[in-house]
Order: sequence, then structure tokens, then C-alpha cells
Amino acid sequence: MKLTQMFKSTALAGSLGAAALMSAVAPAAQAAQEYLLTVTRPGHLQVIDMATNKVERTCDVPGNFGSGSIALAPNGKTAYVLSNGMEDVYGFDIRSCDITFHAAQSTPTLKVKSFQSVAVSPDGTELYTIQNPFGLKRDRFTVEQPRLAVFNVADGVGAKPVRTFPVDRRITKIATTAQGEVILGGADVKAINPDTGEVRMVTPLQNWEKGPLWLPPDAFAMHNQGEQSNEYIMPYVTAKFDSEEWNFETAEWWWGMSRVDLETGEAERMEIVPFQFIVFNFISDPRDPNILYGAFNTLSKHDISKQETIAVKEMPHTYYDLNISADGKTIYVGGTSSDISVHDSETLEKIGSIQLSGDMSTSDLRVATIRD
Amino acid sequence: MKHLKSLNKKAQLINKAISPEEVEDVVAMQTVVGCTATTDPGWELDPFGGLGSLCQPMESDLYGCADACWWPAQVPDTMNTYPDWNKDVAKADEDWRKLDGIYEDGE
Repeated sequence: MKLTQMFKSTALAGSLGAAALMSAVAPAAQAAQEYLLTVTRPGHLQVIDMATNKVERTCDVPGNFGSGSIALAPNGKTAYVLSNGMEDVYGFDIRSCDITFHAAQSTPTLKVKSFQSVAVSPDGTELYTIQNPFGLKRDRFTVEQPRLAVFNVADGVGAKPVRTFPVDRRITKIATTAQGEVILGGADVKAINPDTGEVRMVTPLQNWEKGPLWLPPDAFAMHNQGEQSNEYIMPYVTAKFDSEEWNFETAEWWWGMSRVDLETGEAERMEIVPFQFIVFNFISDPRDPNILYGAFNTLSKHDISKQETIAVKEMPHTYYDLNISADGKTIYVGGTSSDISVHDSETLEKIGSIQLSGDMSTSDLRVATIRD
Repeated sequence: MKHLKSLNKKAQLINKAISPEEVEDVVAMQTVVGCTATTDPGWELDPFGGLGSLCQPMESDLYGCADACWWPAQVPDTMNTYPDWNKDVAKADEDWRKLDGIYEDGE
């Protein structure tokens, strides 16, 4: 593969509606106070005031570190953190660090792991995880059926699932729509009704039908940071071959994404820009859904309406994820090590750094907005 | 090290770029981590067949591999088996010297 090769456009399809743009901009106009949240080693929820870019509060997270996945209550006041080796969920009042919720998913005979998958219902009353259980028998492990677990937030510390429904394997990041469905990011993007367990296909990935010239997509579903645009993005890499011989050297390599509008539950899937470097996570500009930013060894800016990469900024080390202020002006790049790099979204120039007490590793980088 | 011949580009760069003392550090670190089954220089190959798109430096990716059990054969599995392996090292890039190997007898 030639890194410098620029590929001509092929298959960008679909346009982004005005409704999506309006829903993305509306929260910014109402924003009162934004807090950047992440989890650092050995076990700290960091609450960062985005007006000053200072750590305002550090909450102790019980249990062994990991994974640091964070889900937010709709009012922004409670953050649910996946801890204890992806087994427990703790709910924190980010204004006081009080623990208001705890669900220990494992038992002495059944280990339960949730791979990033934590989400909160749109009314804030229920918490969802995808549980991957395996039995601890005297002489063997037993692999059990993955399931959606529904918790009542009001059950607080010691909460147990009130409902469970079987789901596919390989589900990682999840999110909730305004209709109350839970988006499931796995081999395909599906949605489950948490009241009935009914599952629908939102947009296929491994089962897409793009024909024999397209490589099945390789999707990366580790972090979910679409709160500023009320969306869920599943990025993927694919290739379009010039024949069924599948010559990888002459193929057109593309970044693509499945993008779910969490207001409507509808999705679009499209190739967005040529694949020229690795990006771990994309976010949208809340002011313009055609503008995407990506992070890894570079911070990059893309205009998907033109299938172009607009700007690339080399970073001093790898960062896994990123987020953005509601006004779209400031980008925060985090994950991996112990510093969050702050950038101007217009130029991508670095304008600040937030030093933390430990490594973020796989933790999310989420924005909690409190409006009162 | 001077008697060894570099077999790949990264190893050649190491020989050119850093002092013998720093090379010793690199060798020592490979007793702890590494995403290959041997202690050959290098972490793995990126999708382009090179090294430029790997996580850099390795310490930035170290806990992302260990915590998520991403490379369980080469990095101590902190999710299940060795949760205390790095409990005293909050910042891998600063304190990686404190990270020790895992030995079957538990020492």
C-alpha cells in the first residue's frame, strides 16, 4: 500500500439532513457548564472544568482499574464508570464524588465482563450493560450467553439486573436513542428494545451487501464520545478492489463510518475519506456534521462532504480518543498516557495541556453538561 | 550489542540513534513486554507493513494492551490474572523501570 497515494472518490453516499444539524447545535446554546471526564490509574475519576481546563475534583473509583468506560446521566450530574476489570459499574455524583450506584455483576461462580458497554436510558432511570458471562466450574470454564442487563438506577448501591435479554457476541460500545432503544455495536450495528428484548438491524457491517469488489469492513468500536452531536459513530476501514482478484496493492482504501442519529435511531453508512493513516476514534464538529476530527498518532480534521483530509497535526505520542466543547472550538485529545492535549479546532494547534495523576489507558473521554 | 547485526529497520535505527546504555534499557524492557512471541526488536507491524502507525512510544500503549487483555500472551494480563502487576506505577512512561517480569514461581 502506498501511503502517499490519493484515491479518487467512489462511493460516498447520502447527505446529512438539516434536522441532524439542528439537534447537534441546540445543546450548545443551552450549555451552562461543561466537565470533561476521564478515569486514570490507579483508580480516579477526573472531573475537569472545561472553562478553565483545570482538574476540579478527583473521585476515588473502587476496584481494580479498567476499563474506564463512562456513561452519563442525561442531566450530566451522574457518571457511571466501568471498573474492577470491566466487572462493576459505579455511579458518581460528579459534584461531590458521592457514590450513588453500584452494580457488581460477577458472583463467586459466574464471572461477568462488560467490554466498554455501559449506557443510560434517556430519562435517566435505567442503566444498561452488555454482560459477557462465563461460569467458574470446579474443573472447567463454561461460556454463557451474552445478554443485555437492565438495572434500575433507583436501586442504588447493590443494584441487581431487573431484566435481561440475549444478545449477539462481540458487542462493545453501546448508546441509547431518544426512543429508548439501545444501540449495540458489534459485527453489525443493531438496536434492542430494553423492555421486550426485540432486536432490529440498524445498519449492517459484516453482513453488508456491497458486492464482491469490497473488502468486509474492519470496524473499531472501543470508545463512544458522540454526546456533543447526539450521535454514535462506528468507524471502519474497507477497500474497493479493481477486480475479484483482490489485489491489495491496487485497491482503493477507505475510512468509513456507520453513524446513528440518537434522536431518531436512524443510521447512515458511508465511506468518508481515503485511508492514509490510523485513526482510533472520530468525533463530529457540533456546528457542522460534515467536519470530523480523528485521533491516534495524529490529530486530524476531515471534510467528509468533499472526502478530504483538511489538516493533520503530528502528536508527541499516541492518544486513543478525543472529544470537543459544545461550541466546537476546542478539542481535547486523551487516553493512553497521563496528559490531555488541548487544541484549537480551527488550526489544530495545541493551546494547552491538562496533566493528570495517572495514565488514562483505555478510559473514555466524555463531556458532562450541567444546565442548572 | 556491537557483535549483533541488525536485521530490520527499527533495530538499525536503535543502533544509530542511541547510546549503548540506552540500548541496555531497551533490552531490559523487552523481558517485560512485547507484542511478539520473541524478544526481537519491534512491537508488531502496522497495516502499512511499517512501524510509523504503531502506538508511540510503546509505553503509551502498554496499559491499553494489559488492561483490555489485548496482548495477553506477551503483556501481563491485568484484567484477570495479574491485577497487581502495575499497581505502583500510575504512569508507565515515567516509571516503567519499576515494572517487573512475571515468573511462574510468583517471585
